[in-house]
Amino acid sequence: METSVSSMHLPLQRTEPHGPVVPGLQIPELDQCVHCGLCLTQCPTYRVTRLETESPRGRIHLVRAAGEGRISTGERFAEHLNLCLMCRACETACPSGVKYGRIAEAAREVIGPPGSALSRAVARLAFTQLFPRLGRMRVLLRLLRFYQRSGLRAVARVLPRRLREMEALLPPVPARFFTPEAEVLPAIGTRRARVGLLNGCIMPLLFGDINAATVRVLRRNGCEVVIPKGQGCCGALNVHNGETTAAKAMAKRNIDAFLAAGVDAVIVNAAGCGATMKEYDHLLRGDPEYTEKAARFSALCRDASEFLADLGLTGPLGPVDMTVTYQDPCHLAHGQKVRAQPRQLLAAIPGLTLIEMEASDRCCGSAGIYNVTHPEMSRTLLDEKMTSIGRTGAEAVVAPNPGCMLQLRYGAQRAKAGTAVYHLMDLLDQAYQAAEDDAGRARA
Amino acid sequence: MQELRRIVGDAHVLVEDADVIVYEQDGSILQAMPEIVVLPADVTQVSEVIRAARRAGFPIVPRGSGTGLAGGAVPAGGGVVVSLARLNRLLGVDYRNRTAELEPGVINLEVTKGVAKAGFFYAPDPSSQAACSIGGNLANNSGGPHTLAYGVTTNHALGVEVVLHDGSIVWLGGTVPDVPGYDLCGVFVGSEGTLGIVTRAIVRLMRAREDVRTLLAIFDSMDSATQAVVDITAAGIVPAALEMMDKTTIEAVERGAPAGYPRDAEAVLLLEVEGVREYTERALRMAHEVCTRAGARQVRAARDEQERQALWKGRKGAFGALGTLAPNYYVMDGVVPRSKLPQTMRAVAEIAEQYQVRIANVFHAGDGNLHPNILFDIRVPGALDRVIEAGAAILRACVAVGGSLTGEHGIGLEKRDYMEWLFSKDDLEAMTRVRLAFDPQRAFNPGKIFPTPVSCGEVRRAPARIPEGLWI
Amino acid sequence: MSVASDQLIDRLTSELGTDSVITDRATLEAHAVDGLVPRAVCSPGDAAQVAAAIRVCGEAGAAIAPRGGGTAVALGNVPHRVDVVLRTDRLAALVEHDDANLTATMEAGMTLAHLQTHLAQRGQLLPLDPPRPDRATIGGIVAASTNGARRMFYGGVRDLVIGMKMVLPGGEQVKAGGKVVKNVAGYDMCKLFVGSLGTLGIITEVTCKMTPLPERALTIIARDGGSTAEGSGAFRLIDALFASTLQPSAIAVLSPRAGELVRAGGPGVATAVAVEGFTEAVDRHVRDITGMAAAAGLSAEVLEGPAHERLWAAVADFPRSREGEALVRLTVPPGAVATAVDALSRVDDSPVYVAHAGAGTIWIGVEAARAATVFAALTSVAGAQHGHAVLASAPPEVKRGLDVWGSPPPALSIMREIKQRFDPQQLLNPGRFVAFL
Repeated sequence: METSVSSMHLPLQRTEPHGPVVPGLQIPELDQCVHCGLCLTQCPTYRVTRLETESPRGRIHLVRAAGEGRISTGERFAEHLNLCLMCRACETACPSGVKYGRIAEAAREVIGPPGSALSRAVARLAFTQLFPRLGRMRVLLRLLRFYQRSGLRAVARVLPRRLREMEALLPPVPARFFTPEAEVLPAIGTRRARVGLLNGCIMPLLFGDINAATVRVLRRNGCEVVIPKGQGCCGALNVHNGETTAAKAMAKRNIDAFLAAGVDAVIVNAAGCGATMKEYDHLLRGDPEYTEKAARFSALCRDASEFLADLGLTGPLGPVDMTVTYQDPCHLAHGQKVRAQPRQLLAAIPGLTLIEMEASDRCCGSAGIYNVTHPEMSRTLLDEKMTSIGRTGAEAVVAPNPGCMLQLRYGAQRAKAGTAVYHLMDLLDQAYQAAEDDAGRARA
Repeated sequence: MQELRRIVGDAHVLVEDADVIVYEQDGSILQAMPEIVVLPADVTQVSEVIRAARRAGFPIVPRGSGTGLAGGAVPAGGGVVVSLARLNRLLGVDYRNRTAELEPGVINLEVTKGVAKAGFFYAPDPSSQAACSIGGNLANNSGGPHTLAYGVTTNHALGVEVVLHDGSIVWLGGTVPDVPGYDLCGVFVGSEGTLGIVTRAIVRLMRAREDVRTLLAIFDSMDSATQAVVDITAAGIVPAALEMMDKTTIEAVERGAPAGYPRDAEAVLLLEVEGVREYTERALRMAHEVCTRAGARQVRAARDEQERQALWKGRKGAFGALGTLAPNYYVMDGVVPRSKLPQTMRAVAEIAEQYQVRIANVFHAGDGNLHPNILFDIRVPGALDRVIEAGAAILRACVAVGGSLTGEHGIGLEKRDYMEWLFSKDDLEAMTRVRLAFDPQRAFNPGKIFPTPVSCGEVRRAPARIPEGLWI
Repeated sequence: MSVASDQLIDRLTSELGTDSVITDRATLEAHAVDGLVPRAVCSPGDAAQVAAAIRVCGEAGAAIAPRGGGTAVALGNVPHRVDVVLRTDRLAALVEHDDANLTATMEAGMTLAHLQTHLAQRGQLLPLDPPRPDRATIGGIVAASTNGARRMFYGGVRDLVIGMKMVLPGGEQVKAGGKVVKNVAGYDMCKLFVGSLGTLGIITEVTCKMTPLPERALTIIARDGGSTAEGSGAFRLIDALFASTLQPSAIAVLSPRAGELVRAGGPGVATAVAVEGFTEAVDRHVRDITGMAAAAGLSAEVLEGPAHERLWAAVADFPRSREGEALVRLTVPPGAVATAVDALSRVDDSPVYVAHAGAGTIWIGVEAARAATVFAALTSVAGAQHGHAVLASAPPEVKRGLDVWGSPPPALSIMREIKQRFDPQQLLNPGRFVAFL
């Protein structure tokens, strides 16, 4: 009945498996994907481009096809994988529990860091030479601080546009870095737990106040806080960008440092770090020496909000009169499935009103070094985010992750919105401080 | 190609393997490589793209979100895949007349989200509603759990603007029903992309109901569960949804995302009634009695929204949870008269036995729309063949009791060879007349619906790792 | 005409039997379509005979006017030709009532009233409300897509038909859909035939979705007693109803003269709201709607039992052709019914209309002499609201010279193509459908 499709139609020549198979891409996670497509609309890059090549399902299919040798792992392949923010919103949407993050990380291991040859070299240098050695990072940030304060910044105006924009992303480096006064800080009041705190790489330098606030809040909640000297950077950026050699070494260092400290939990106040540390067991799979230790360590890791909500806040909280909205950091909401706890803690602060924004769990475009490697996509997502925040009418946005905070501050500046950006621990600390001030006044 | 680039811009014409390969599949297990993928941004571009593609003699395969389960968006004969993903504007909502005008790339759930605050909803709610597009819904005449009371897509589509094979743009139907002439909007809906491309649609919105009540009944035998479905219908209750899960599905749900279903139960029935409070209370009470009389071990009614969500949780996560039982599943979409449910479910169980496959049943019992999921491991040699044979046997059993091959997934590529079980040569010939009246050269989505071999290009079953000999 | 009448009749008789082919003058005249008297009236006894009759007519090039109860015979343009009227009166059996499936299959010639009697015995009904259910046949209702006021709740003909069998102009016996309520196998051919007015094939069997007989059914009738401007009180009530979560099964607004016609009683504009379902839910509707009516400045009364049934029978019967009168069907979005009625009163001082407000359909009775003028005026009223107007019934002399379906639909070329592919010989109801298809 139905005859030829069209006599004129001459199919283009497409050859089936033409390249070598890539064992590094033949990973079991791929088999779980039934390509139902439910992830598409949750993917920020798909939402913007409407291209399935820029969707989780598409990327999974690309990895599968490349693994089978049906397509090459060349430039096009790398572009699609690199446009991914690694926000893992797709994992939340997936009904089959596909661990997309692992698929993407495996792919990035094969294709290497993103960007131009130069930026790849810079990134590789940073991943292997900078993050694992926090002393160097400290020196670099001091230089940056000098640059920002010396008036040299005026020179930046003559930089090419791209570089100028990157320069604008740089946050002001605070006058003081966070240096804990001791390795072990006692609990205030009855001791309820002994916890370790990840000091991190960027956090003590750019967000020293937040680490200080975190320590105060934990101590006020009866936690003895250990900040082991032997710890280092968590290695998240390395893992996300396909650099696993240095990352494994960094993981081992942290595992050793914290397990030696004998803590009930390892507290992390940066969502990206937490997500990575909770998956050290995966990173170190197949390393006989560390398999068990990594599993033990990962099980100890808790986001600060997750830990405090489970523990239950104690002590008087004073009012923080503020209307805020909450941005779910991707690596907290999607990576660690922690959504309710931060909201629970915010609700506990007297005087504070939380107004939910639309799609609070959609990526703000920060995504590690993404805002540097993919500035256009990053800004598109940021602008959308700032619009959602603006619609709530909130005066501040809470985002318990340094990357998100930097990005949202940049966004507020771009939008000339004057929206303040806080870490959850900032606000809790303020609430405790307010209670203390009240008590002080009452005594006076 | 040059011309396509001129029309839609370089970024929206894909030709390289590492781009187009993503479009070789949809939600089904069938694959075929497109030659070119184009993403036009508006109706003018769609029209120009079609003209250009036709001038070059390429077949055209429309694509929404690619969530279809019958290979409808798989370019069986190669050609140009036209993705409507960029036509995604909600153009207007008319609450007074309860209609929305929108582009085909709008996501189903976004429609309801957009109108919920005003107290309205868009009724068809396929399980993929978070991702599937309205254009895809129109092409497949999609259903969903709540279509039992509210009807499927065709009952909610008033008019569609379509681009035909020659690039001409025409409205079928309109803003009101009964537009004089043949009901071409009705014919177009469900035509699986073989007649043209929808570029705009006017759909009905419904007023949100005052009250929703949900009930879960647990049964010790599949027979009494299916009998309860028959009895509920006979008692004069028209539930908004009436869903069933069998023991295997319960096991998967409880392993994957536990919803508190007893693992030793043979079947659970999920019933939802919507309407004014006085109606829902009474209907719920009656349904409770009917289930108890049919032999339900336990009947739970949700007391609040949280409990309601908890009851639904297992049903909604059921398909995903099947992954905990086997690496692959093949979902069937047979439909039978509701009166034939008990005997059909027995037949499905016999088929599972006969073909030595494990089947998990999770389905829209109130519509008689079965979704037997055949569980398998594609890496086991011969497993896929046996699964496909068992699937065919199930569909034959459905047809034998006066049912149909598909209730909501469509014929696509997957079941076109089964069409002759249901339709005579003359029946199909009548459909072909309609096809040719719209699309005389069969430019749109060739190789779909009608039982004929594809003339060019290749279709294969995913994944590619499976051994040779499975190419069809 | 290629074949002489005698020869055609002989061949029909040999296929169908003497009793099934009638040629007496009185019968032929009684089966005239718009004054065109056929040469024969035949009543095939089964689908095979329908096919045989069509083949005979095809060979003879004789035009066929299919006919059920004849209640919609005035619908459509004056046909180009009528040679044979093919009646479905002998195809009147209930094929199957699968009550547990809430579906029934009947032959096309079964009357709706007859079907309802069967269904009622098992507590069900087919929620369609065409004029003259005692005469209107299932096949006719489907072919003419005759919808009533209850469409707003139960859906229309196109929503309720899930399967059918038909004989095509070439004599092929085909089927569409089936007896399942959800079915996407192949094109939805039922939609093509619903409302096609017998121009593509002859429907011989139909399967429909049924609904349970409501436990209780009544009407709240609200009247403005002539006190408000043309129906403004009625539309305030309807707006309130639409804004609420209530689910009435039908709403009819009756102009004062229409009110008299359907004996709804009382002066002024009347709004009848039918409510069906469980007793508790019906009671709730009565409470709320009575309150809404009072708020809209209307006096409300509840009609139950025979009074309720009589009212809706009369409302359903309103759009039937009457001697010396014409009938216009105006379809607008439901929210535009008030505007359309307002515009209507500028076309006609004292309009006779029944508006199915929930569905957006307004039936307007017009004197035959003014029909063409009023139809033209209403066409522009409809156009302004993105709707359409159809001159649903009028004496042939009025119909000649205009297209009763209004201006040609945008997709006319596809419709023409479909007609051409199904009925290349122009055998079935030639000229009667849109744009004289």
